[in-house]
Amino acid sequence: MMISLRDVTVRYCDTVAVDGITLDLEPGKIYGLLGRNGSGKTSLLSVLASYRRPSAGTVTIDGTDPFENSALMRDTAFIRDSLDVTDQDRIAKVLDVAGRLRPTWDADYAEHLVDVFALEPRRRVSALSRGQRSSLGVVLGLAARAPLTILDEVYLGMDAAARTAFYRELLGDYLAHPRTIILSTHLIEEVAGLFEQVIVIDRGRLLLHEDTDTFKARGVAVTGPAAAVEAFVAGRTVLSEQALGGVRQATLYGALDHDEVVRAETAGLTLAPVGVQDLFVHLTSGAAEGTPRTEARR
Amino acid sequence: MSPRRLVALTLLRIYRPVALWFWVTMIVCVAVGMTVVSRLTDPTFSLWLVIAGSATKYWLGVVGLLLVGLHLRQFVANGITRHDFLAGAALAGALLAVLFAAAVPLGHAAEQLLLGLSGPLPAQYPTTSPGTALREFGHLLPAAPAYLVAGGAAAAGFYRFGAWGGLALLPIAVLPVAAAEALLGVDENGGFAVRFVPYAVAVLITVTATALGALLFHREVRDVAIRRGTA
Repeated sequence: MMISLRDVTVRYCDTVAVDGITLDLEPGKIYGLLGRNGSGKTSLLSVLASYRRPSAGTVTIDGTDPFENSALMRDTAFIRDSLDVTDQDRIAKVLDVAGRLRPTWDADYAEHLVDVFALEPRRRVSALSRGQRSSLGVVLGLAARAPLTILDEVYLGMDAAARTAFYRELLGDYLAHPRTIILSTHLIEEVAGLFEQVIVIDRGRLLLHEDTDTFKARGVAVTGPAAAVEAFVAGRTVLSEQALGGVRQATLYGALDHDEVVRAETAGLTLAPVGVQDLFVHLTSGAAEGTPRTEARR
Repeated sequence: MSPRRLVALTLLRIYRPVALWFWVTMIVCVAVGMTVVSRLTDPTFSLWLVIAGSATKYWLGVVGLLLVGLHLRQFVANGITRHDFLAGAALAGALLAVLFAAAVPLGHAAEQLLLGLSGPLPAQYPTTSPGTALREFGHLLPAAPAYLVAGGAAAAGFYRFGAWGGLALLPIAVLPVAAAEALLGVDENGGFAVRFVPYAVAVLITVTATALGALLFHREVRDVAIRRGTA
């Protein structure tokens, strides 16, 4: 399903949560939606999932407005960190209701996920820990096998083992049943390996949307003798620096051209890609004020 | 299966155990209460009509309150549109209203039968007959949906417009209940008397008020944003 957003704005009284975002999402990819707290991620996802109408602008899925469209809403699964289930219900009942309402529900896979996350089907949702609630959200999101699956901060409270299981299951199920998955997360470095495309929003506006590799190429880590690194990075935007003995590593913002790469290698410097999180922090921390906000808009 | 039928069946499945507890509690309470009363005096009223005649309507009112606060986001999160949710809830509500309205005269007959088994019926006891059973059913059938709709419309007003907006809409939301109680209410003896206007007019006014409440409910919910957590 091809998703198109045109000048989408979401307002809450005087607050503008999403400010004129235009975006096209191709089908069958895993998207990472990144943004700081209050940047408008959840509001944007709520509009995509037909949880609310945009205050302005249009959303279309395969050319059709998904809001109150039975077929398109049935094909969308939106899992929020708050979980849209009844707290008094037992896990088994929550899964039973989902299985009855969702035509694409895979009960066997749901059972497998319940085992993976060590959830007790007879426990009530209200008795679950924060991490277990998140695990239940993952079960609901993945077992729904919806062509558009939106997972908004679903890892909250999960321990490292549960998060690893989530990433493994997400990737495995995506490869077995390709679909469009949008992941909103703050644990960028942990999940970055899953993203095929990265969308960064800041203060309600689209900062960039591009392939993860292209995004990573926006920065470079330069490692080598301290003096050589210092000389090489002079006049460039340095995101971070580390030093150990006589060796120094500097993370630079901005891609290097061929001549610069040759010069670095001649100076005995090693070049490596930069983590998505470093770039994200740089782009959204205000340090990149000079960077055009929509320079990589697609 | 159509989404609205799916919603109706799922709601009925959700409320089946709750309804079962409700009726079992009612039967036990009335059985104990009527036993105690008949030991002390000759009952001049039907405890079943007094309790069940009102409680069935209140129960549906509570279900109406929960529809938006508890179930709307649950169904939308599972890919159901607001429109299909409302249509399915209406189907389930209509079926529950018929069943509950029928249960009251049936329970009255059972109460009379049990009283008769323990001796002659008290002279002042409101005996039932096919005619009175039909009257009881005819009173409850329009009143039960009125409570359901009023509960839904009132809750949806607060859900969508917050405390002040909800309060402002409350008089319109409870209009069906006001009409049903004023014109088709149960008296202190459990009797179903016609008040103020003839029965047909009372039903017409109640049904009209219920339709207005349903329209308000629909307008409130048809494009409401789905909130986080229980509203």
